Amino acid sequence: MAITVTIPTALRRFADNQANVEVSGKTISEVLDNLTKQHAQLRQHLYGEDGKLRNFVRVYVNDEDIRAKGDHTPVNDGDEIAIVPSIAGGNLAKLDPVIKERAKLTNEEIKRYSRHLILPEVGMEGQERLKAAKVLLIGSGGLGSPLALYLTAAGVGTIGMVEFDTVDFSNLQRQIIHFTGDVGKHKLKSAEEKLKAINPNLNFIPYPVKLTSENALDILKDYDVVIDGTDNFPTRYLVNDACVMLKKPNVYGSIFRWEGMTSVFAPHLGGPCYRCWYPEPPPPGLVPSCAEGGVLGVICGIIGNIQANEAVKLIIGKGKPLMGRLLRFDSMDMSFREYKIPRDPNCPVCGKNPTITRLIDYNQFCGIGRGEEAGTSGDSIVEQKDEGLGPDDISVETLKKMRDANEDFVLVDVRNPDEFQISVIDGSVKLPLPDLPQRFNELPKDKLIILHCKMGGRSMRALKFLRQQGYGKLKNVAGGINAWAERIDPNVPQY
Amino acid sequence: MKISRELLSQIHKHLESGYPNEACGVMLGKDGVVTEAVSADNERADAPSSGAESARNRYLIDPLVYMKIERDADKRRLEVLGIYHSHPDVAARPSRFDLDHAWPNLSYFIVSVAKGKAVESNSWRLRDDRSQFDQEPVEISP
Repeated sequence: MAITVTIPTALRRFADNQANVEVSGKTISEVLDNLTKQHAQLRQHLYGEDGKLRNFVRVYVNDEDIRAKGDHTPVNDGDEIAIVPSIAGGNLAKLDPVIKERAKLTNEEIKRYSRHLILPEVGMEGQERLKAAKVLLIGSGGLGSPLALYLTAAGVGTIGMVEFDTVDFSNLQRQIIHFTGDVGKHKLKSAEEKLKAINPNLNFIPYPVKLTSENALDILKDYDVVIDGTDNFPTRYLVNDACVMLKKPNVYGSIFRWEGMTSVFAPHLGGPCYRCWYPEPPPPGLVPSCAEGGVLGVICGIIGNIQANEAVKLIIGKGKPLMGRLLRFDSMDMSFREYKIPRDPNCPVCGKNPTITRLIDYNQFCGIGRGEEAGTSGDSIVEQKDEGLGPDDISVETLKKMRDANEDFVLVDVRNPDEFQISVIDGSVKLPLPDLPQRFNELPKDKLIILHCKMGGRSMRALKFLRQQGYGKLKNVAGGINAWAERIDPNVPQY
Repeated sequence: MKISRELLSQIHKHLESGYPNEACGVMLGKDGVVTEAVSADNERADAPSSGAESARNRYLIDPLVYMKIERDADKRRLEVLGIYHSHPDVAARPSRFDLDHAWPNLSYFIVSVAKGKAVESNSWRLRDDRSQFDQEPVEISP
């Protein structure tokens, strides 16, 4: 098939000075591939090192931009393809501070912030902006702890914190704002005590609620910068969408095991939003939470402090923000890698024609219903209360009664082998969830099978898997072994 | 590159009127002599000025507009010789962003506009291997 390709003036020298070249091919990519075979010098100007069309190269078929359709779009005999330069450029990115106000420093504050004041990029102006700044932290967990501590120390005048949970022993390994003596205390109270100890003049605004579609806009609207320290998808999308709608920069961070990721989402400042990167959440359960997969506490400090660093830069308007770039940290390799996140012109929230213009039901959007784990703040996981039992759930109390009555069932522990060493319920069969597809035949089909994990999420996935394999009598222990430890057997440790 | 004093002052006026934003346009001509300067809208103009990437420090010519300019030039047997744009309050040298987005065989004519006044103009060409820009002499004819 013969297709005519129009070459822009700028590239004609690499195509024997022709304005039009006849090339064969069934799709755009075939045509361009054949074109660059005929004229090899064209290749490096059309394609980047990643093998993709450079972002300033536009391809039009019969005057229609194919960008949205992709380069596998078929072409027909007689079609005209035009390679068109998107001419762009500009000087070094300069950032205006996200807040215009400045709050005058006292003599005591001048002394306190002297190491900032002698940094040319901060100076009196930057420090006065920090004092005037209002930063909202979503969660006071792993990321929220270092964030709050460092931002308070840096002189941020107002810090809001959204958190509904109380301090638990299992938080202390990474949530460094909370101390052993705080266990049982509300996290907001615990955080406020530490932050006020650092800076008694801090204006601390606690929000002892779960962030929801109903309250998010109202809570976020008065802040200059929002920092997302949550570990679940519904809240992450909620924070993203609310920030886009209110035009607030969203400093994103997430952690898992030995890794962390961070970026700044701010479409109103020219960058992408979280949805440009992840238009839709992964299926529930595919990405384990830190409560299921574990996390090295130290990672929280590293990622949280990068977020704090970006927040300071946004407030004082200096440097190059981590916008349109995702920074991924791997502590096992001790490596940082940067990935570009382009803005999606068709993004449903920040695109040219947004389809999501008010906050939606984010649990539903993320496919989270009964039996799935979903926290809405920090590292918390929603507890499954007795009255909230799903049709496949049984409570630990019922399990205890059935054991005491010697009822005939098999108790299966689907946690990972490392977790068996922490705690077990006596008499359970150990069959880690990842091994289940290979080993489920070990389980009898004629007996009742009761599954448990740490908190009930993974065992519910095991239950659904076994049901697909034809198992009829299945139950899931709501709250998992931690509920067992809390309410039935105090000798079993909680973790 | 050769350009007349009159055309140069037309370009300067256009870029000064765009201050504090970046403004841009296309230079047409033949055999290295610029005979026309066609102003183009900066597509970044709708981005808010507080941003890290806005019309304050970015320019973008709509590809369809560019295609029209080039087709029109082809018809009149003129060539696209280069692109001109302003750098508000910074030097008239290409940025890393300019390099990443540059096309070969074009003159990139950059004008530094300081506080609304064109103060310096330089012209640059991309090397064929895309490694860097080289400055080219600009001959101003009366």
